Amino acid sequence: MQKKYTQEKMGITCVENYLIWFLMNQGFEVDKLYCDSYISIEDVLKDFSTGELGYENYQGIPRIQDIGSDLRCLEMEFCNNIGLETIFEHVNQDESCCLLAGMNPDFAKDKFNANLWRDDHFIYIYEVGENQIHYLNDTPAVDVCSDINEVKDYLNGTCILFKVIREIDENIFNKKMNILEKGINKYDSTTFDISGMKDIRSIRDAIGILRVSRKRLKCLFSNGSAKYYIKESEIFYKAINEVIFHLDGFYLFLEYCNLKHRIDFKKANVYMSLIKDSDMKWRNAIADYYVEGF
Amino acid sequence: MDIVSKIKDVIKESGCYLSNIKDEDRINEDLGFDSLGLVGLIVNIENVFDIEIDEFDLNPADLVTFGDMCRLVKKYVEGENQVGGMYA
Repeated sequence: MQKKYTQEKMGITCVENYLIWFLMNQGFEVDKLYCDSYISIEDVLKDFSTGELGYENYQGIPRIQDIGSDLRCLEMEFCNNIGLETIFEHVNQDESCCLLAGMNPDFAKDKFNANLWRDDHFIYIYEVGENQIHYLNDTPAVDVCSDINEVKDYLNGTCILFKVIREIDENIFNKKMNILEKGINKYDSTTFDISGMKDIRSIRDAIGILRVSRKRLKCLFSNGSAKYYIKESEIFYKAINEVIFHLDGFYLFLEYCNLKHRIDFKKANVYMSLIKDSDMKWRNAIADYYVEGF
Repeated sequence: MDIVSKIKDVIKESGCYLSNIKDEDRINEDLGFDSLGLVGLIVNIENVFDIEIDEFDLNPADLVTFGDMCRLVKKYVEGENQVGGMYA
């Protein structure tokens, strides 16, 4: 494997995290797949305010695999009743293929003492030998080499196969970027009051989604080969780093409050205010960039 | 048992497989705790030391390595905690 599997997660689900990692190792310009990842603070908070949505099921930002398929550069196939032999064939015969194997719910708990967000858990199997299997697990993020027998009983027979068909078509990508630019420029000065949200987990999940969104956008606009590369814009980088910094801090704060079953909304609103201000700064920087250039 | 050894014990009990934890080991990449795992770990540490960390001290930029974690806990155990920084 060329790159270490880190926990700088740009995905919302484990499937997205594996796919992003796989694409990066294939030399694919994965940053461009973040072109549909903008969502306003107002929209995310409103979506989560009902208390019915969960982070892991949120659809306000399309999944990377769906964007890849939509841009016609990625092929995705779901398989059922797949056996170890078939997994063996796919993994060892086609390096341009990414195989995610579905695992029984007990797997993460038994192997890593981990509690997962959802029941459907996948591992990324990248090498299978006669007795050994090499795989990545997303939570916790580990690169494992183990005896096949220690894994095979947990396989639930499902798998997802990804294959890169081609690089992203520049025309389609540019259209997507035009839409993104208009979305970002849209006036968004949220007055949404999180104090009205009684479920701490809903606020945490909303902030978690915003955090992924802004990290992806930073990568997208930092992609040196893209037409939309924001070159040497101190204003943009300072502002987007600032919003990511505050989102990271607020996310931890909210999980801490969640575990303690209490929240100080005065403190929470300090974070929200900083997030709103810095979010507006980077969006203004983008707007200025396309109007005047830096 | 000293503070660092106790923290190492909590980390191991929380599912970390690293046998020899060093100051420079990164909580995320090396010890395997993502953001939510890190908070769970902090709450476990609080329980062991009978301390309560101020929420504003949970700044991911200041909690990168095992050494950072030890410094934060020592600040509270040794009674030098002060709420500060930009959020105070």
